[in-house]
Amino acid sequence: MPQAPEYRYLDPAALVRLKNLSLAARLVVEGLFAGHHRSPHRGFSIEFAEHRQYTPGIDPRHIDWRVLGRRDKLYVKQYEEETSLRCYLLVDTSASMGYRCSAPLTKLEYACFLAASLAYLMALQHDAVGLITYDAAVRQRIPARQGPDHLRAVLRRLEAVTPSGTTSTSATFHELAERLARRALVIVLSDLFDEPQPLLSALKHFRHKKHEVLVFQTLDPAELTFPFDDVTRIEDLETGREITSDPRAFRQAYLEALGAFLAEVQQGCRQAQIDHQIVRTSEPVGDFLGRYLARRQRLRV
Amino acid sequence: MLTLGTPLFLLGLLSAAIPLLIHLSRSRRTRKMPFSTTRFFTEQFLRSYRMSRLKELLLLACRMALCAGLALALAAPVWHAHGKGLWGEPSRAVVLVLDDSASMALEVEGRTLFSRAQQAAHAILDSLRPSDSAALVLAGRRANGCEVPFAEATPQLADVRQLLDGLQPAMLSADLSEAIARAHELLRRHTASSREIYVLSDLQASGISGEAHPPPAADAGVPVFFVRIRPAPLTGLAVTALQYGASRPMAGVPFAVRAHVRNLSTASLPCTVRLVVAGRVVAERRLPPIAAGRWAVATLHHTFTATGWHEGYVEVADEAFEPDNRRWLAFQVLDRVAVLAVNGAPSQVPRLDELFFLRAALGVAKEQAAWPHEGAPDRAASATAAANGESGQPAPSAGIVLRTFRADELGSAELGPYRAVILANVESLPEAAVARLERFVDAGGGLLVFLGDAVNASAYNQTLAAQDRLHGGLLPARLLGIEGRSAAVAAEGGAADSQPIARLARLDAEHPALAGLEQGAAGNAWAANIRSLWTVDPGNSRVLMAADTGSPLLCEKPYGRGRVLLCALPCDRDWSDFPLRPVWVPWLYRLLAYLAQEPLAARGFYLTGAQVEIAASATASSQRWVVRTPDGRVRPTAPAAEGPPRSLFAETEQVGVYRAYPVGAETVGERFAVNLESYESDRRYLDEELAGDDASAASRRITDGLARLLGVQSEVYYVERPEAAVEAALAARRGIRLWDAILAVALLAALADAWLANRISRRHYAQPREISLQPGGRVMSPPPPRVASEQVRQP
Repeated sequence: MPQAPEYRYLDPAALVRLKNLSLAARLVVEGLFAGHHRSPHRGFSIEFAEHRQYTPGIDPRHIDWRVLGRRDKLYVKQYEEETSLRCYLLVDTSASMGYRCSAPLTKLEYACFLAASLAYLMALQHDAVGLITYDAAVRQRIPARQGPDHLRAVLRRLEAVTPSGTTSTSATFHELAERLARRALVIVLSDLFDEPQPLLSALKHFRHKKHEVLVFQTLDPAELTFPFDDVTRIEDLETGREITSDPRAFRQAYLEALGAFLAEVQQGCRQAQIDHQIVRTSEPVGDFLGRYLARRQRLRV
Repeated sequence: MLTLGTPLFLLGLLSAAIPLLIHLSRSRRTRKMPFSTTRFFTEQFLRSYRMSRLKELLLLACRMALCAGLALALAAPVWHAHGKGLWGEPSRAVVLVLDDSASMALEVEGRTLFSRAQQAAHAILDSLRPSDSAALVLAGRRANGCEVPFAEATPQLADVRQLLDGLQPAMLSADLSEAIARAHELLRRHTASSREIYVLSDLQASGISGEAHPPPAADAGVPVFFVRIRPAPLTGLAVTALQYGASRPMAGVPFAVRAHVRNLSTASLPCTVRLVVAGRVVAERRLPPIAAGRWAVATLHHTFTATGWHEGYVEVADEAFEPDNRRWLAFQVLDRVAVLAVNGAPSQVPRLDELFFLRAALGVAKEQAAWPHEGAPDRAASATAAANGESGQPAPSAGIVLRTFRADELGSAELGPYRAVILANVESLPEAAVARLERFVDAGGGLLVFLGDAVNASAYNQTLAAQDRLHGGLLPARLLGIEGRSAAVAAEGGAADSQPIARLARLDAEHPALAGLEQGAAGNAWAANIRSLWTVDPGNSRVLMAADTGSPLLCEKPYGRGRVLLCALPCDRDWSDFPLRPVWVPWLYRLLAYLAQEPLAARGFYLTGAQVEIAASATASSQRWVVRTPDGRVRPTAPAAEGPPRSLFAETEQVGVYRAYPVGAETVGERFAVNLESYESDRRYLDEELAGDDASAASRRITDGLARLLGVQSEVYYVERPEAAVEAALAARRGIRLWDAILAVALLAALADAWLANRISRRHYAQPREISLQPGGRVMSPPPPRVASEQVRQP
């Protein structure tokens, strides 16, 4: 088990809160290792699933003799196989993720904290976790594997990311959707500042490939309230575009436009059965993650 | 100009810079702020931002105006449209225009209007500081203009008060126009920063003369306060005019006097009119009740038994306003008037004789001494005359006695017994005759010249119209030529059927000899056909009648103490049918009566304040005339500075009969009556006429109307009560308080500021708020579009 204090994005307080929780996939995922997650491949394991008529070639050890004694027919037992979860963390490292106003962390830092926490949780569950950082293209890719060494590698990589470049989320997602051959849990950590329709199309692409998708849209509270008053020369972190203006004059229109954007993204995710969460960087990571996982666990029960 | 009650508060104007400084500091505090994305800032938002900037500037102006307005209002500014210093109380120069006309003598509740005006004037003087100055102008219409006791506004206010106390209303009419003009003249060069004129008058409508006296443009800043001194509604009767039945009374001939009596009250009143001569009531007539506001005519007759000057008055019994109860008259009663006629074209055939129509007319005149339309004298007059032992019938010897001479006899004739001489178509006169005529007329005789076909124009012009002769010659006009027919044809006569070339077009009805003839009561003078006439050049002479061609028909020239009349027509019917017209008889009779009287007797009467001209003979020019006024004082006359020799007398402020005579010869003098202007009894007032029926804007209409009628170009204030004169003066000094208006503007600015700020905030500035998220982090629908929300807010 890795020691949490060694890593920048592992918040001990958050880890304490997550200790008794497990990340449960709403949908059945395919895993390489038996674990807490049911596998769609029924076979011979511990937990009974159903009976199936015996056909030649099946190992006679699986014949249910009691059924044979009572009904004089050959049936074999089938068991549900528990498998480990394959999870990919997609972290947006574009320049816009480097924004921070009054919150303690930039959006990228917050996303990294979130990703590290999730990776640690996966490791606890013996699930395979991978990391992909991207901006306009995929920058770093760590395949999904199990084990403490792998977790350390993921955490080291997270510590090394810096915000830069522009965002082309939709193109990157389409590319990744094609590359991820096996079904997995895809967790997107991004502000999603892209054109909504291509973005949704890319997310649906994941769903089309049978992946379960979680979207944590990480936003600074200032982006949600636009609390600026003084005349300001606003500089776009990604494009460098500058606008000198009185933010009060923009506030109403900005909030309307942002609200429309978020509503469109949320509605598209709901239609694609994608779990979409807006994450404020002002909220402690543990609080958010604990609240979220608790809710997911209730859904599973 | 602007004055400030608390100038220190002007420092508060600096507070207007506070919003500006805040604005500038905000504008310059632009900082650079990295932001995650600008994808939500569209061009539409930028346009909205620019609009908000404009509105912000408007908001800034509102806030600056609010601060400045408050500071200015605290400084208590006052606007004075007339001269005032910015920092202190101004020096004042005040002219009090006091209406001392007869109507101000009206007594109401034991006090005259004039005393009320004096009280108001005193109150205005009391409001002056010792360093201020004041002057008086008396608005009575006087011969030499309104009386101005002080040559300029004086700081000796005690003198002004003393003079004011000694004033009394005069029996004069008012001339407010001239009085205000004089007041402007007094103030024109005064250096006081505040110059004011107060008109204390009852504002009778007759107080405005026809002539405008506009003040110079430089006096436009002098405010004029009209303080109304108004009587209560009056009752009473007034004798407003007298008319005489004949141009002169004759001894033994009933003389008619028509008195116009007006009822000034609001109820009908009975009226008794009396004619008093030499202190004795000689005729009385009781009139039926006169309706309110109407007038009636009472005809009174009296027969004078003695010749010479007689004086008296017509009066009505009324206690309301004494000055208009009586009108004075003065007559010179003549016995027989001897007239010498020089026949220039005698004929054995009576109807062809030049004097045929003249003789005929004067013969008729003997039998109709009274006006033809007057009818017979009434019984009362006859009874009065009988009681006086006088005959009610014309004396056979009364009237005009005509004696005929030839032209060559005139040089040796004794003209002393004659009152007038007639030249009828005389070809020319010898030098001796001309000299004798000149002396005769200069001494007071009358000369009537009829032209005709026999007249030698060059001889007339050389002897009778030569400028080198006494008074520039006897004739009022130089002869130019005959118009309409040649002299030769005229000599043949008998062309009565030829076409007329002219008609009478103008007749001077103001002349005492012709008054009333234009109305046709004595025959239609306008119907006369003129076939030929002499064209003359009247020069400066007075033209009494003229043809429609413009040619003068009758001209008059004063000549010493006498007068000369020149008629461009002959006195027979050769050139016109005028002698055939009924008007010929009264016309001729009146001309001769006019020429036969003393100069002052020929004039009907004078109005108070008028200047009386006493004709003087050139041969006795050194003779000095004096006038005994009705109160018995003897006042000197003044010789005229230019024109023919005559004496001028202007102290006619009393009503009554004046006697003018050479010094030391009072028994041979003349008399003239001076009466009050009848308009002083007029109860029409300027303010009431200007106010109209609508009381809502009456004050404004009155001030505008007064300014227009009186030619006042500056501010005009109307003060309805004399007690409020001081208050009006104070208000004028205070000027217009601006702080109320400024505070109102500041309040409007504050309201506009709030409204504008709210509007900008609602349209352009949203309060910082987080986008609504549903539980679980879901986003609520965005707020509805702004347009829709505004539509909902609108009623």
